[in-house]
Amino acid sequence: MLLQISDLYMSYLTIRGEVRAVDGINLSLESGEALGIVGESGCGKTSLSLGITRLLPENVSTYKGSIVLQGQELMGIPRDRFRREVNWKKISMVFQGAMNSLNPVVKVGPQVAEPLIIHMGMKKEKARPRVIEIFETVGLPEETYDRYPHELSGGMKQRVVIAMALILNPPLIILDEPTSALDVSIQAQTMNLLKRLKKEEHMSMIFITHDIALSSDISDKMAVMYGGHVVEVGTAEQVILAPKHPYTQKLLASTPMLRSYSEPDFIPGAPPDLVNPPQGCNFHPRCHMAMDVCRREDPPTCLLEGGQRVECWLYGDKNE
Amino acid sequence: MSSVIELQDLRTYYFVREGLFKTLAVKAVDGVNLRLQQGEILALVGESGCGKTTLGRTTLRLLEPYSGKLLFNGRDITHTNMKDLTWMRKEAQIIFQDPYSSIDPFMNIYQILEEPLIVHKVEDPEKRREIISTALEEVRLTPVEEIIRKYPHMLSGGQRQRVNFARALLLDPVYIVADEPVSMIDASSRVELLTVLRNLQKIHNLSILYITHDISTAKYVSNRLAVMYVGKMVELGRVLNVIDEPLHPYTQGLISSVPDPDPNNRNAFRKVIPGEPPNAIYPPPGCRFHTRCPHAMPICKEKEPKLVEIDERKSVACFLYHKESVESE
Amino acid sequence: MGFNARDAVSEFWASHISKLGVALLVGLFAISIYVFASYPLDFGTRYWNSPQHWADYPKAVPPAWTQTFTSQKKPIHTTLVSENPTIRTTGIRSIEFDINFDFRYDDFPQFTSFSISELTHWDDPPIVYVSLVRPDGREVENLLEIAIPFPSADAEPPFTKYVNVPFRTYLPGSPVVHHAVSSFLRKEFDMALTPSEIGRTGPEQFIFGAPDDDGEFTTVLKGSYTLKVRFETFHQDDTVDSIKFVVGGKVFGIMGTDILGRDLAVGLLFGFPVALFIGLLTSTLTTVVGSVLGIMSGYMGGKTDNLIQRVSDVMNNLPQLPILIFLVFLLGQNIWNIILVLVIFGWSGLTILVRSMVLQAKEEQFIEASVAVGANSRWIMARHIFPQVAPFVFTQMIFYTPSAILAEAALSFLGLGDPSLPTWGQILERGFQTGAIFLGYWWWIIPPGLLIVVTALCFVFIAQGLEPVVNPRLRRMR
Repeated sequence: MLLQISDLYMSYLTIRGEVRAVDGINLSLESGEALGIVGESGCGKTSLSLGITRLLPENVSTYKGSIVLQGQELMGIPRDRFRREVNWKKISMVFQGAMNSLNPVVKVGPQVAEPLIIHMGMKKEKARPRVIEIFETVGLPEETYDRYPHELSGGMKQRVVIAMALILNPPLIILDEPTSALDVSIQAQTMNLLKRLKKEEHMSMIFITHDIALSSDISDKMAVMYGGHVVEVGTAEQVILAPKHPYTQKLLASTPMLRSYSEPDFIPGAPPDLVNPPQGCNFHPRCHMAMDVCRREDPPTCLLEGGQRVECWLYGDKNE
Repeated sequence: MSSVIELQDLRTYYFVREGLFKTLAVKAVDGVNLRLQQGEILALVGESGCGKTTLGRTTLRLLEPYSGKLLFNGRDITHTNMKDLTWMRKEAQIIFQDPYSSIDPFMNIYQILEEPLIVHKVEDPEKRREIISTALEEVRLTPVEEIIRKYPHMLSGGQRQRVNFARALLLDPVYIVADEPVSMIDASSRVELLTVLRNLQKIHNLSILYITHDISTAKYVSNRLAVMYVGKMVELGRVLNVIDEPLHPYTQGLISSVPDPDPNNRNAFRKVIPGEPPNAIYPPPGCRFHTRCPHAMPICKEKEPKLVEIDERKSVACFLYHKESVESE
Repeated sequence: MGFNARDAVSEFWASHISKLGVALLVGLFAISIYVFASYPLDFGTRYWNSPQHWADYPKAVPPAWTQTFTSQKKPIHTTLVSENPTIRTTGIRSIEFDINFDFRYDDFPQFTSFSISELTHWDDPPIVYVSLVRPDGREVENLLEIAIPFPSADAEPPFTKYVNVPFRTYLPGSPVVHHAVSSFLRKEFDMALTPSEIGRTGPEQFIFGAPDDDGEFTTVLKGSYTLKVRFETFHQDDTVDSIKFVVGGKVFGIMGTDILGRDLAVGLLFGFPVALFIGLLTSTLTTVVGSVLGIMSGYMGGKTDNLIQRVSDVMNNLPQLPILIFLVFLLGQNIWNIILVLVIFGWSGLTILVRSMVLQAKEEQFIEASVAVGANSRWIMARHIFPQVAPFVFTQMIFYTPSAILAEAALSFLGLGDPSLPTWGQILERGFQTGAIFLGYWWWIIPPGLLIVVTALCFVFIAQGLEPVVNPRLRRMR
């Protein structure tokens, strides 16, 4: 097991109160596997990624749980050591909109070389061939080293950012909506690149997106998030072909399909307020199968066959 | 059936200055022929830089065409002055993409919706109130009494977008340009909004130009689909026809780039269109797509294919299907 | 944007500086309203600039409260009035006034004066005899002997005089007094001093003093004094309404006096509404002109933009103070000219700033939406563009206010102010002209300077408090 997250909690303090962004998450990831986190805006998926990489915002109030990476418990490590030993070396991240956050006045090559110089103490001349090597892996020509960000297209910038995440050869890379700003054809190219990295470089990755169809393009395992909870997790086959949680079902049903004929559905209402989540199950106000117990008590985590896990009262008798 | 919008070899260029003396033309829309019929929803699909947004704005005469003809309900408005087009502002409306920046944050919903009515001289405040209530109810933003008092930052993205829909309906237009109306909305709410749009079209028999980069929503909402690439229209036809049997290699590449939810997706590399789209200032000679086309032939480098009707309501601009080029006019 | 009134107010109120600014502003306004209600508008010309009004005030003396810090008590300015004479009909009919007063200070009065108000006579005018009885029993006789002037040839009885302007005698300058004191000294103390010598030293020193061993009159005779005033009248119906005897102090009031005897407290008070008026009017006009031109320039572009930009560039780069001086000199020293000139030179800075904000604001999609709806430029500028710049413009207006106040103070200080209005700058200017610094008249210089600074600071504090409201990036994270 490469990564094991147990009982992770994370909340922020805002003017309106405490926002329970990550509310008791359990996830695991094997080496060479891609875990897709699927959820809409406000479900906590970005907070989850910040929690794993310990890039906590100023107003964080609760942060507890267990994150075990390659057998090592990360939660206890003091901040300085985490920054030196774990950040970028063991886990790296491609942020949402990262391609637009490249320093516009520095050439792209030196920017990618930066982690090598800072974390490994490498000299600039030694770093350059390593950067060119990574560029090749991500499909960028050698000349890209001396280009400025504005000289590159969106797709190329995204590859630069991915290169930056790979430069220290971390075992785990987290990508948060890496293709949302890209055109569809470039998106497909980028997804092909990620597939190649997974297959040939044995990259393990966590791929965060709101688009379940896109997630299926890379994820071996999928976890669906809603209101700070993982409501369903399983293999891609399980989650897409046999979704158990009503939210997952509705999410799939509301995705317009290009290749099949069905009137897409939609989910009425809006995501829950994470300052005052509803009593009981977070999803019950919008659930077409809500029962009485759903309104009163938090649903249990139920283990189903094949390892599929669901947080829903419909499967209450299979309580974990 | 008469066409609401008719474009004849329409070109809209932007001019940018390079250095002190050079002016370059960004050929955003570079020769498009199109007829939008009364009561139809036409989806305009393409990637960034293809010119779809520019085309949409041009049909509303928010931009002035460089050449060609633009007709609205038969009237030639290609070079009419903005001031003389106030009549058109009542009949043609636009719904913007960004629910956060397309409504004035300093006005409440009532004031925002009142504006078009005041500008077009609906003098009676009672009448205005009535029109606004009806519009809000039609887009399902209720209770009306509460909504009109709120300010934009108190509404969700989806609700704000409905305000945009309502605003477009107020003057009872015949033509609406919907510019990526759901791109910035959550996936699970998109269909809801598009359903509202579809119903509005049915009730008011609107003609809608639905601009999007998301071809799957186009399938859900529109009758016809037009595909644009670097300022040119490359394929046009009934939406299901185009999606099920795309003719143009670009359309084929576009469709194969879009995944449906399918666990098998991860096991195979996707067929993609190689390379990057070219610059609209210096488009390639001949067929603009030839640099990335897997089926490029020698003629594609020299001559530009014309958008030709192949059969009943399906047109394509590709030498694989016909020999007609733009120069042979 | 998330901008609403309640958030704005709480954001503003969050810092202590804002609270201080608002407190000061409330104070300024309260004082201004008080002054506006209690003083006439022409106070400047009618009273402040007419020396006659201040005749009986001590000249260039510090405030009365400075006494608490000195062991040597200086005399406090005292005005004694008597309105109830006794009428004696035995012998020559006379109207007599007696005034008792205590004088127990360590220093002599700066001056004394005697005034007669509302006198009516039917025949020959009365003759006035004034004498002063000292605590040591000695009496300075015939200190004053005044023959009321005859009426003019064509006047008819009864002759009423000194109704509006009292008949005033300034004792230190009166030769009669000098003679009386000289005689008094010879008779009582066997001292020979000529009237001119007495005139030079000042008679009060002898009237209120006692000789020491060397024969020098350096000690004050402390105790009760009585002033006896006798009007010898020649008709039984002659009347005198009141008399006034002023013992000039060496300290006066809350803020002291200037060289003309003007009560600085009153002058400074009057400065409050004037400063606020000038500051607020100038900044309001400047802001209105500047923001309107900035919005037009930014939104309409083209020739309008070019024209406004060129003009504002030029105006912005002109040296303000020299031209200000020149124009006021040319147009005349009057408050409206000053305000006009300040506005003419003030608007260009704001126009440039507003224009750049408008350039950005007009790219917003909701502007395009309004254009698509068919709204014309004027509508869009007023309904959509203006609210975007309004918070900033409002803050700038607050910032301009102290600049205007300081500019007026500078002009007044250079002698170019409006002489009919007492402003703090004017008071400062008079002080410097009179050499107040060298003469140590600190109460004349420091208060107006301090008031100018405090008023300016008040507005700066408020503007500072408003900044986080206007610029969301500066807001505190709570």
